[in-house]
Amino acid sequence: MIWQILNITFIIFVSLWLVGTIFVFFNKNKIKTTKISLILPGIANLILLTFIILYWIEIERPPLKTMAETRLWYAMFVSLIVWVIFIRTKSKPLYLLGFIMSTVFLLVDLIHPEYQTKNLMPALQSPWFIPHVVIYMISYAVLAAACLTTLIGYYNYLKSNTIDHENLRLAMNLVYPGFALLTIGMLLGAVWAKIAWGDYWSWDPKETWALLTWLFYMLCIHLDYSFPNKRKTLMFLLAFSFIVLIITWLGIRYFPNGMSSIHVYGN
Amino acid sequence: MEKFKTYSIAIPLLLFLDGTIMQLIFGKFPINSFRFPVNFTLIFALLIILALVFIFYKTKTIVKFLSSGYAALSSILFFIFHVIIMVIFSQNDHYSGFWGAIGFHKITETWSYAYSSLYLLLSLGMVSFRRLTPFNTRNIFFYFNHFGLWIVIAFASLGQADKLKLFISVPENDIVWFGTDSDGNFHEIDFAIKLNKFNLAFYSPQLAILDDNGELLKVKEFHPVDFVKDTEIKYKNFNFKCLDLYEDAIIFKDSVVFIDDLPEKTWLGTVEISNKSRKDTVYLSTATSFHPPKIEKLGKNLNLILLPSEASYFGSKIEIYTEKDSKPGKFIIEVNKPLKLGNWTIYQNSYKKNPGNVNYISIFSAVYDPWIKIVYVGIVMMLIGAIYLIFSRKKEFKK
Repeated sequence: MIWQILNITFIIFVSLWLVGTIFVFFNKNKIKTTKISLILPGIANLILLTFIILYWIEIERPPLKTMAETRLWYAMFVSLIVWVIFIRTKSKPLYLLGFIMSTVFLLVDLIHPEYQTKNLMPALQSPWFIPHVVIYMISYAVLAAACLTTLIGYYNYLKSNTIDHENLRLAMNLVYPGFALLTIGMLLGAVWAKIAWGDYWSWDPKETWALLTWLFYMLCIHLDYSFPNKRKTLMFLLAFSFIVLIITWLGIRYFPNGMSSIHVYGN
Repeated sequence: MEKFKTYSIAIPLLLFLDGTIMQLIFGKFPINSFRFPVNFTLIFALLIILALVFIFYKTKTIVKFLSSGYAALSSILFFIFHVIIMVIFSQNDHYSGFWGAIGFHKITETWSYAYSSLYLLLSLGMVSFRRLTPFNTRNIFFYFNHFGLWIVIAFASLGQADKLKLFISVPENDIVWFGTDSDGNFHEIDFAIKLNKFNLAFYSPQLAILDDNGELLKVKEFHPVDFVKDTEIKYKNFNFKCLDLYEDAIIFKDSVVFIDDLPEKTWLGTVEISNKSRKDTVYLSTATSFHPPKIEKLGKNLNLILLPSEASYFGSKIEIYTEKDSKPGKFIIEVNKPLKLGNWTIYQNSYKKNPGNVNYISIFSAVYDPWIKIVYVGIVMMLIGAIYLIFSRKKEFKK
């Protein structure tokens, strides 16, 4: 079974990122540093993507059903996004935090692999399944990068007692596409629900939490747009919005009615 | 601006207070009073009022406030408040007591929730009018985002008064022309469904371990696996190897007996169990309502079983009888593949069986949702706006 080689994939992925990180932080030759710290994580991402594809082929259904499977995608997208941001901005702390975040999610998959089955319930056998979940995963990863950027900004604020406007601008540059993808994922889900059940919105606990996440990010965008002087509030709101997002994805089962959600499956 | 700040705090507070008083006096918000033509007239009137106010009071406080960031934040936060109530309180209207009386256990049916939707509509509507000029790319997409959401909120909330969802249970070879709504009320419909055949397919069952309390073992070392020939799995000292799998079969006096037309899907599997002290092959069978499962007890909290298999497909071959057509139409309805029939859309919802009966009962849901096309217009507008939003910061990002 392909899942059995997740540990090897994990070791290679982490090693490549780790070497890349060491070169980012400790090598004095800047040109070489940049090249190595770009190439190695790039290969790491390709390896993780290859693992997902092989696993997909083996289980004969999209690997987007269980929490463990979505964590795989998430680790890959977070890693990919911080890698792309590094190409553009050379943000070292984000590089490190993104690597740590991906590693944590892969590690959780190693500890809690859940069970892998080829079964896919009829409701999920739909062309809407893949775009709905993949767009959500990309959006979650982009918003994770936004949150990590905000945290770096907050650390800088604590250090110097001045708002790190540059970091906050980068965070908001990520929030806009992240929020847009969240919107698209939610609307595709609504259309799919209409086709499958006849209701585009049924206030299922997961839907309600997803709406809450969407509204909080909407609040961030309006705060940023209309109140450019409220930077500190924006920093907190961005961090809080990401907590809501994580609850939506991983934590609704701990809330009233959470387990009654049609989105709680595969565990 | 200080005035706007006061408004942005006072308006939601007053709306909530008024909504709660209304809730205590009149009970839940009477959404069913907003059936066509009331809902359409109201939405149309709201648009006209917004347009007139915008045209004639453009420089007045009301327009400036409603299209300001203060109103945006205040209306979003007021709506968020209701969604938070929804995730904190169980949404079951049978709850009584104080929280039940003010509607917290069915927040979408409260006056306060209706007010928060209206507040959002006023803010979104006014800002949409304001951004109609100047006519540039940015404003066009802004308009798609905001007015698209306006359409979705307006027609999804007031349009639901006209929506009807009926559940229709049809046994095989039977014909049914009525359904029940979510409150259990019977409704006669203008067509009849005859179920010719209900088709059902299953995945193979899974090999699993139960403890003595019937809890499924899900640990890193062992988790249920699909029963596929030659699959091997280890747990503690045991090695399990899946051998043969028989469909619609039971074990009878150590012989495999195949039975046609069993009332439920039954699987029988052979598994080779080996450890240091034993190596033998055992039969396991899934549980049904007419016979218990055959399990293999290997020790304390160690019971090897076959889990009942999951459905991989279900669909119905039906005939539809209408007053208009002299001959019935033949159709297949499957999950994710509904049938459009005049004003109705018929969905394959689920299925059940009467214990001991060979035939299935297919459960359909028929939905009458006259405003769906307009809601889709709103959704498409929001999607276009969202696609623009993805790339809206591209230049900024490159700086």
